[in-house]
Amino acid sequence: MRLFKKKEAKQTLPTRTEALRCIPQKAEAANWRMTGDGDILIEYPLAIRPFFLQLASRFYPKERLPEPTRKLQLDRLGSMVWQMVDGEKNVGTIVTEFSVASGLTLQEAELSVTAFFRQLGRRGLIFMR
Amino acid sequence: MQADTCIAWNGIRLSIPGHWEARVAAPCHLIFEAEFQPLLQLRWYQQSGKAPAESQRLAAALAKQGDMVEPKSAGSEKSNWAAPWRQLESKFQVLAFSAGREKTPSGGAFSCPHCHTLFHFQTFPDKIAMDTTGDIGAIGKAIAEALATLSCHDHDEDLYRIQDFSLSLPPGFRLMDYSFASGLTRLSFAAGKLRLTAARLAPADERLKRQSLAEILLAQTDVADLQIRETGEENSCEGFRDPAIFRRLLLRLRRDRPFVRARIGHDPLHNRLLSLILSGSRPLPAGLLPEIAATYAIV
Repeated sequence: MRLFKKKEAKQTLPTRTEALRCIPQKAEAANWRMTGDGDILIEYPLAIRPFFLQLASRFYPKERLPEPTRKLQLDRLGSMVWQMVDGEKNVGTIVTEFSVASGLTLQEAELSVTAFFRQLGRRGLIFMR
Repeated sequence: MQADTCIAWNGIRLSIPGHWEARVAAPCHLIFEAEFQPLLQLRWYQQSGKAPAESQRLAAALAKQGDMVEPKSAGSEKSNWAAPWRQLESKFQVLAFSAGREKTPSGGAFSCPHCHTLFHFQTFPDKIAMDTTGDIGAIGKAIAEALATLSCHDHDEDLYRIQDFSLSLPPGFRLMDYSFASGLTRLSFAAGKLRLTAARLAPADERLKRQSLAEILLAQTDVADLQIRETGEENSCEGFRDPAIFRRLLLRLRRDRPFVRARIGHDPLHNRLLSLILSGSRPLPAGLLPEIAATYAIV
């Protein structure tokens, strides 16, 4: 028996109803623009591990350290959802509006939008409040 | 106010208000909700060959649950909380009701005296607020009315009608698997050695930009030697595989079903693609796929 076993922190996940009430907000670090064909192109800073940052600091002066970015091109439906994120609408409202705009059923829209937000959240492009 | 919608899934049918959504939580478990708020969940247990005993065991287990009350003693107090569910007694044998902390109706168990299907329903108590007269509110009444329309036997056809599609199957097909992924709904059925897969793809315009109907059908069936032919109808195509004897043997050795017939159609009005794939180890009945395809539609 381990006497000093580290206690696992209890993770409380929000319920579906709570999650749908959350308001998504675009991260400030995400620069985005609309391309010629109406799709959204997002450019966001790439998170670099401290080891590589230290390594880079040996070759570059501090003020000229490279800041690599990544680009993410959204498709038509993704662009539609991205434009709906205004910091005021909650996820439920976005799902309902997306369902009407795309012609998908409410359940299909919910699955698509929540999966999309999960992907954006992992990349640090949106956060929920 | 939207008209009522008929929901049919895995042997049961009921009518729900038009603004409700039905979600499939398990093959015999539906959750009904409005504006993303769950209102009612319904589970059922269909009788199999040796089921009366099993069904009775389940019914007894449900009736023994802490908050369950026998129908005779339910609602004998001032607020007659079981009254809305009493209309179930005209069609079903009610086993028990349950009430929430404030004597609001919260669920019950009942069985069909004809087919012995056992039902268990549960409402979400905060939605069934009682008004000042001791009656349940509008949502509670809507739930009671929806449950009163429930039927489980004597259906002319084996109907699957949920979300926005409707599919009617000849007798003998059993639901084997389902998936409601985003943009792709898939239901799989089996009838003896026949397998049927019904799929609904959305949005059709996005998919048809990249692939033709025939290419989508080939990808769906995963049969490289599928022969594509025109159906004679606009916005649809058919594919089939009817191999010669040697090829049949080879496919059987690979545990593959040699006979395949598939059909895909585009519904431009609803922006959906509807496909049906029928496969079997023996020659397929000629009229079966067109018969099923005629009933498969967006409603």
